[in-house]
Amino acid sequence: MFSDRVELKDLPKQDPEYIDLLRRVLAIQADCEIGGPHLYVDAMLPSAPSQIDQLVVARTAAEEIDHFRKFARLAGDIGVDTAYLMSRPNQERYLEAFRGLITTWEDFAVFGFLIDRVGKYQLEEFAGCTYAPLSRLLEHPSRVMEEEAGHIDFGTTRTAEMAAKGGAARERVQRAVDFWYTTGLDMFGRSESRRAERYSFWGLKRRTNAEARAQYIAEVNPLLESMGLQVPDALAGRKYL
Amino acid sequence: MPEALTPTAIAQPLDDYLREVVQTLHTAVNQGMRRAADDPHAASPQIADCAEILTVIMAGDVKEWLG
Repeated sequence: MFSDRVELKDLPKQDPEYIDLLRRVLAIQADCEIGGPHLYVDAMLPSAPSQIDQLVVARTAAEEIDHFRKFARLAGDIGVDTAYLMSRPNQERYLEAFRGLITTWEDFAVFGFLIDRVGKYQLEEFAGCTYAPLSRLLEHPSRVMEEEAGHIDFGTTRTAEMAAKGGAARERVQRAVDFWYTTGLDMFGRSESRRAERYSFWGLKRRTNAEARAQYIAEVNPLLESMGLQVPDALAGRKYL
Repeated sequence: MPEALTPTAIAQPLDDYLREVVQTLHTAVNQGMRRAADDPHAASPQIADCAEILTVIMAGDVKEWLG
Protein backbone atom coordinates (compact mmCIF):
# COMPACT_ATOMS: atom_id res chain seq x y z
CA MET A 1 0.00 0.00 0.00
CA PHE A 2 1.23 3.43 -0.96
CA SER A 3 1.35 5.83 1.97
CA ASP A 4 3.59 8.74 0.90
CA ARG A 5 2.30 12.27 1.13
CA VAL A 6 2.62 13.65 -2.38
CA GLU A 7 2.88 17.39 -2.99
CA LEU A 8 2.27 18.96 -6.40
CA LYS A 9 5.98 19.34 -7.04
CA ASP A 10 6.51 15.62 -6.43
CA LEU A 11 3.76 14.48 -8.77
CA PRO A 12 5.93 14.02 -11.89
CA LYS A 13 7.95 11.42 -10.00
CA GLN A 14 4.91 9.29 -9.21
CA ASP A 15 3.73 6.12 -10.91
CA PRO A 16 1.65 6.84 -14.06
CA GLU A 17 -1.26 4.88 -12.59
CA TYR A 18 -1.28 7.16 -9.56
CA ILE A 19 -1.33 10.24 -11.78
CA ASP A 20 -4.07 8.80 -14.01
CA LEU A 21 -6.29 7.95 -11.05
CA LEU A 22 -5.74 11.35 -9.47
CA ARG A 23 -6.60 13.16 -12.68
CA ARG A 24 -9.69 11.03 -13.08
CA VAL A 25 -10.99 11.48 -9.54
CA LEU A 26 -10.51 15.25 -9.62
CA ALA A 27 -12.41 15.52 -12.90
CA ILE A 28 -15.25 13.37 -11.58
CA GLN A 29 -15.49 15.34 -8.34
CA ALA A 30 -15.53 18.65 -10.24
CA ASP A 31 -18.28 17.25 -12.47
CA CYS A 32 -20.37 16.26 -9.45
CA GLU A 33 -19.94 19.65 -7.77
CA ILE A 34 -21.17 21.65 -10.77
CA GLY A 35 -23.67 18.94 -11.71
CA GLY A 36 -25.81 19.75 -8.66
CA PRO A 37 -26.67 23.36 -9.55
CA HIS A 38 -27.38 22.26 -13.12
CA LEU A 39 -30.04 19.93 -11.73
CA TYR A 40 -32.01 22.41 -9.67
CA VAL A 41 -31.24 26.08 -10.28
CA ASP A 42 -33.50 26.59 -13.30
CA ALA A 43 -36.64 25.16 -11.73
CA MET A 44 -36.11 25.64 -8.01
CA LEU A 45 -34.81 29.20 -7.80
CA PRO A 46 -38.08 30.66 -9.11
CA SER A 47 -40.43 28.12 -7.50
CA ALA A 48 -39.12 27.36 -4.00
CA PRO A 49 -41.92 27.70 -1.42
CA SER A 50 -40.75 30.99 0.12
CA GLN A 51 -38.22 33.72 -0.52
CA ILE A 52 -36.04 32.32 2.24
CA ASP A 53 -36.10 28.99 0.45
CA GLN A 54 -35.26 30.69 -2.85
CA LEU A 55 -32.25 32.26 -1.17
CA VAL A 56 -31.26 28.88 0.25
CA VAL A 57 -31.32 27.48 -3.29
CA ALA A 58 -29.08 30.35 -4.45
CA ARG A 59 -26.72 29.91 -1.51
CA THR A 60 -26.51 26.15 -2.07
CA ALA A 61 -25.70 26.74 -5.73
CA ALA A 62 -23.07 29.34 -4.80
CA GLU A 63 -21.40 26.90 -2.42
CA GLU A 64 -21.41 24.09 -4.98
CA ILE A 65 -19.96 26.44 -7.60
CA ASP A 66 -17.23 27.31 -5.10
CA HIS A 67 -16.54 23.60 -4.51
CA PHE A 68 -16.30 23.17 -8.28
CA ARG A 69 -13.85 26.07 -8.37
CA LYS A 70 -11.65 24.40 -5.78
CA PHE A 71 -11.61 20.99 -7.49
CA ALA A 72 -11.21 22.59 -10.91
CA ARG A 73 -8.17 24.44 -9.57
CA LEU A 74 -6.61 21.25 -8.22
CA ALA A 75 -7.27 19.58 -11.57
CA GLY A 76 -6.04 22.57 -13.55
CA ASP A 77 -2.82 22.65 -11.56
CA ILE A 78 -1.98 19.17 -12.87
CA GLY A 79 -3.01 19.87 -16.45
CA VAL A 80 -6.63 18.72 -16.42
CA ASP A 81 -8.94 21.28 -17.98
CA THR A 82 -12.42 20.95 -16.44
CA ALA A 83 -13.90 24.22 -17.74
CA TYR A 84 -16.04 22.28 -20.22
CA LEU A 85 -17.90 20.74 -17.28
CA MET A 86 -19.57 24.08 -16.62
CA SER A 87 -21.67 23.76 -19.76
CA ARG A 88 -21.78 20.00 -20.14
CA PRO A 89 -25.30 18.71 -20.88
CA ASN A 90 -26.76 16.99 -17.82
CA GLN A 91 -27.23 13.70 -19.67
CA GLU A 92 -23.45 13.51 -20.16
CA ARG A 93 -22.51 13.83 -16.47
CA TYR A 94 -20.27 11.13 -15.02
CA LEU A 95 -22.83 9.95 -12.49
CA GLU A 96 -26.44 9.15 -13.23
CA ALA A 97 -27.63 11.14 -10.24
CA PHE A 98 -26.77 14.32 -12.14
CA ARG A 99 -28.26 13.42 -15.50
CA GLY A 100 -31.83 14.61 -15.01
CA LEU A 101 -33.58 17.68 -13.63
CA ILE A 102 -35.02 18.52 -10.23
CA THR A 103 -38.38 20.17 -10.64
CA THR A 104 -40.12 19.66 -7.30
CA TRP A 105 -39.37 20.91 -3.81
CA GLU A 106 -39.64 17.34 -2.50
CA ASP A 107 -36.89 16.26 -4.86
CA PHE A 108 -34.73 19.25 -3.92
CA ALA A 109 -35.07 18.46 -0.22
CA VAL A 110 -34.49 14.73 -0.60
CA PHE A 111 -31.54 15.37 -2.89
CA GLY A 112 -29.90 17.30 -0.05
CA PHE A 113 -30.88 14.66 2.49
CA LEU A 114 -29.69 11.62 0.51
CA ILE A 115 -27.44 12.62 -2.38
CA ASP A 116 -25.41 15.35 -0.68
CA ARG A 117 -24.92 12.76 2.04
CA VAL A 118 -23.40 10.38 -0.51
CA GLY A 119 -21.23 13.33 -1.54
CA LYS A 120 -20.05 13.66 2.06
CA TYR A 121 -18.96 10.02 2.01
CA GLN A 122 -17.02 10.57 -1.21
CA LEU A 123 -15.32 13.70 0.12
CA GLU A 124 -14.42 12.00 3.40
CA GLU A 125 -12.31 9.59 1.37
CA PHE A 126 -9.95 12.39 0.43
CA ALA A 127 -9.25 13.69 3.94
CA GLY A 128 -5.89 12.17 4.80
CA CYS A 129 -5.32 10.83 1.28
CA THR A 130 -1.86 10.62 -0.25
CA TYR A 131 -2.22 13.67 -2.52
CA ALA A 132 -1.59 16.46 -0.04
CA PRO A 133 -3.28 19.35 -1.89
CA LEU A 134 -6.49 17.31 -2.13
CA SER A 135 -6.26 16.13 1.44
CA ARG A 136 -5.79 19.67 2.76
CA LEU A 137 -9.03 20.75 1.06
CA LEU A 138 -11.02 18.20 3.06
CA GLU A 139 -9.14 17.96 6.34
CA HIS A 140 -10.86 19.34 9.42
CA PRO A 141 -11.69 22.18 9.57
CA SER A 142 -12.83 22.12 5.97
CA ARG A 143 -15.15 24.75 4.57
CA VAL A 144 -16.21 22.33 1.83
CA MET A 145 -17.21 19.71 4.39
CA GLU A 146 -18.99 22.27 6.57
CA GLU A 147 -21.00 23.55 3.61
CA GLU A 148 -21.91 20.04 2.51
CA ALA A 149 -23.06 19.32 6.06
CA GLY A 150 -25.29 22.39 5.82
CA HIS A 151 -26.88 21.10 2.61
CA ILE A 152 -27.49 17.71 4.19
CA ASP A 153 -28.98 19.26 7.31
CA PHE A 154 -31.33 21.50 5.34
CA GLY A 155 -32.44 18.59 3.16
CA THR A 156 -32.95 16.31 6.14
CA THR A 157 -34.96 18.89 8.06
CA ARG A 158 -37.21 19.73 5.12
CA THR A 159 -37.73 16.07 4.25
CA ALA A 160 -38.75 15.35 7.85
CA GLU A 161 -41.13 18.34 7.88
CA MET A 162 -42.86 17.21 4.70
CA ALA A 163 -43.10 13.63 5.92
CA ALA A 164 -44.61 14.84 9.20
CA LYS A 165 -47.48 16.50 7.34
CA GLY A 166 -48.76 13.07 6.35
CA GLY A 167 -51.24 12.37 3.55
CA ALA A 168 -50.37 13.56 0.07
CA ALA A 169 -47.31 15.47 1.29
CA ARG A 170 -45.83 12.31 2.77
CA GLU A 171 -46.66 10.34 -0.39
CA ARG A 172 -44.83 12.89 -2.52
CA VAL A 173 -41.76 12.85 -0.33
CA GLN A 174 -41.82 9.03 -0.20
CA ARG A 175 -41.76 8.95 -4.01
CA ALA A 176 -38.74 11.23 -3.98
CA VAL A 177 -37.04 9.02 -1.38
CA ASP A 178 -37.76 5.90 -3.43
CA PHE A 179 -35.98 7.44 -6.42
CA TRP A 180 -33.02 9.11 -4.72
CA TYR A 181 -32.30 6.27 -2.28
CA THR A 182 -31.71 3.85 -5.15
CA THR A 183 -29.76 6.47 -7.09
CA GLY A 184 -27.64 7.22 -4.05
CA LEU A 185 -26.74 3.59 -3.42
CA ASP A 186 -25.63 3.25 -7.04
CA MET A 187 -23.38 6.30 -6.67
CA PHE A 188 -20.98 4.27 -4.54
CA GLY A 189 -20.17 2.10 -7.57
CA ARG A 190 -19.83 -1.63 -7.95
CA SER A 191 -18.86 -3.59 -4.86
CA GLU A 192 -16.34 -5.60 -6.90
CA SER A 193 -14.61 -2.67 -8.56
CA ARG A 194 -11.04 -3.14 -9.73
CA ARG A 195 -10.58 0.62 -10.03
CA ALA A 196 -11.77 1.15 -6.45
CA GLU A 197 -9.11 -1.31 -5.32
CA ARG A 198 -6.46 0.69 -7.14
CA TYR A 199 -7.66 3.95 -5.56
CA SER A 200 -7.33 2.23 -2.22
CA PHE A 201 -3.87 0.83 -3.07
CA TRP A 202 -2.60 4.30 -3.96
CA GLY A 203 -4.10 5.83 -0.85
CA LEU A 204 -6.51 8.05 -2.77
CA LYS A 205 -9.51 6.43 -1.07
CA ARG A 206 -9.80 4.58 2.23
CA ARG A 207 -12.98 2.53 2.09
CA THR A 208 -14.13 0.05 -0.50
CA ASN A 209 -17.33 0.88 -2.35
CA ALA A 210 -19.17 -1.81 -0.43
CA GLU A 211 -17.93 -0.56 2.95
CA ALA A 212 -18.94 3.03 2.25
CA ARG A 213 -22.35 1.96 0.95
CA ALA A 214 -22.97 -0.22 4.01
CA GLN A 215 -22.08 2.66 6.34
CA TYR A 216 -24.38 4.97 4.39
CA ILE A 217 -27.27 2.51 4.68
CA ALA A 218 -26.64 2.18 8.40
CA GLU A 219 -26.80 5.98 8.74
CA VAL A 220 -29.76 6.68 6.47
CA ASN A 221 -32.19 3.87 7.22
CA PRO A 222 -32.79 4.86 10.86
CA LEU A 223 -33.31 8.48 9.75
CA LEU A 224 -35.97 7.40 7.25
CA GLU A 225 -37.67 5.26 9.88
CA SER A 226 -37.63 8.13 12.39
CA MET A 227 -39.42 10.28 9.80
CA GLY A 228 -42.10 7.63 9.38
CA LEU A 229 -40.97 6.92 5.83
CA GLN A 230 -40.53 3.49 4.31
CA VAL A 231 -36.99 2.33 3.66
CA PRO A 232 -36.84 1.33 0.00
CA ASP A 233 -35.52 -2.08 -1.02
CA ALA A 234 -31.75 -1.66 -1.20
CA LEU A 235 -31.50 -3.93 -4.23
CA ALA A 236 -34.56 -2.99 -6.26
CA GLY A 237 -33.80 -0.95 -9.37
CA ARG A 238 -30.07 -0.89 -8.72
CA LYS A 239 -27.65 -0.72 -11.65
CA TYR A 240 -24.34 -1.09 -9.84
CA LEU A 241 -24.28 -3.86 -7.27
CA MET B 1 7.68 18.92 -15.03
CA PRO B 2 6.18 16.83 -17.89
CA GLU B 3 3.95 18.89 -20.16
CA ALA B 4 0.85 16.90 -19.21
CA LEU B 5 1.27 17.98 -15.59
CA THR B 6 1.79 21.68 -16.21
CA PRO B 7 -1.06 23.95 -15.08
CA THR B 8 -3.70 24.72 -17.68
CA ALA B 9 -3.74 28.25 -19.04
CA ILE B 10 -7.13 29.02 -17.53
CA ALA B 11 -6.62 27.41 -14.11
CA GLN B 12 -5.81 30.73 -12.43
CA PRO B 13 -8.19 33.06 -14.33
CA LEU B 14 -11.14 30.68 -13.94
CA ASP B 15 -10.39 30.38 -10.24
CA ASP B 16 -10.29 34.17 -9.90
CA TYR B 17 -13.47 34.69 -11.90
CA LEU B 18 -15.50 32.09 -10.01
CA ARG B 19 -14.21 33.30 -6.66
CA GLU B 20 -15.59 36.76 -7.45
CA VAL B 21 -18.90 35.33 -8.68
CA VAL B 22 -19.35 33.27 -5.53
CA GLN B 23 -18.58 36.28 -3.35
CA THR B 24 -21.18 38.36 -5.21
CA LEU B 25 -23.77 35.63 -4.84
CA HIS B 26 -23.13 35.35 -1.12
CA THR B 27 -23.48 39.10 -0.72
CA ALA B 28 -26.83 39.05 -2.50
CA VAL B 29 -28.03 36.04 -0.50
CA ASN B 30 -27.02 37.59 2.81
CA GLN B 31 -28.72 40.88 1.98
CA GLY B 32 -31.81 38.98 0.90
CA MET B 33 -31.86 36.93 4.09
CA ARG B 34 -31.73 40.08 6.19
CA ARG B 35 -34.57 41.69 4.24
CA ALA B 36 -36.69 38.53 4.26
CA ALA B 37 -36.24 38.27 8.03
CA ASP B 38 -38.04 41.61 8.37
CA ASP B 39 -40.57 41.04 5.61
CA PRO B 40 -40.98 37.59 3.99
CA HIS B 41 -41.62 39.21 0.59
CA ALA B 42 -38.92 41.87 0.61
CA ALA B 43 -36.07 39.93 -0.96
CA SER B 44 -37.23 40.02 -4.59
CA PRO B 45 -34.40 42.29 -5.81
CA GLN B 46 -31.73 40.07 -4.27
CA ILE B 47 -33.34 36.93 -5.67
CA ALA B 48 -33.44 38.58 -9.10
CA ASP B 49 -29.72 39.40 -8.76
CA CYS B 50 -28.95 35.79 -7.87
CA ALA B 51 -31.02 34.54 -10.81
CA GLU B 52 -29.20 36.84 -13.20
CA ILE B 53 -25.77 35.72 -12.00
CA LEU B 54 -26.68 32.04 -11.93
CA THR B 55 -28.11 32.18 -15.44
CA VAL B 56 -24.72 33.35 -16.71
CA ILE B 57 -22.82 30.72 -14.71
CA MET B 58 -25.13 27.87 -15.70
CA ALA B 59 -24.65 28.83 -19.36
CA GLY B 60 -20.99 28.08 -18.74
CA ASP B 61 -19.51 30.21 -21.52
CA VAL B 62 -16.07 30.24 -19.96
CA LYS B 63 -14.32 31.70 -23.00
CA GLU B 64 -16.60 34.73 -22.96
CA TRP B 65 -16.09 35.27 -19.22
CA LEU B 66 -12.35 35.16 -19.47
CA GLY B 67 -12.10 37.12 -22.67
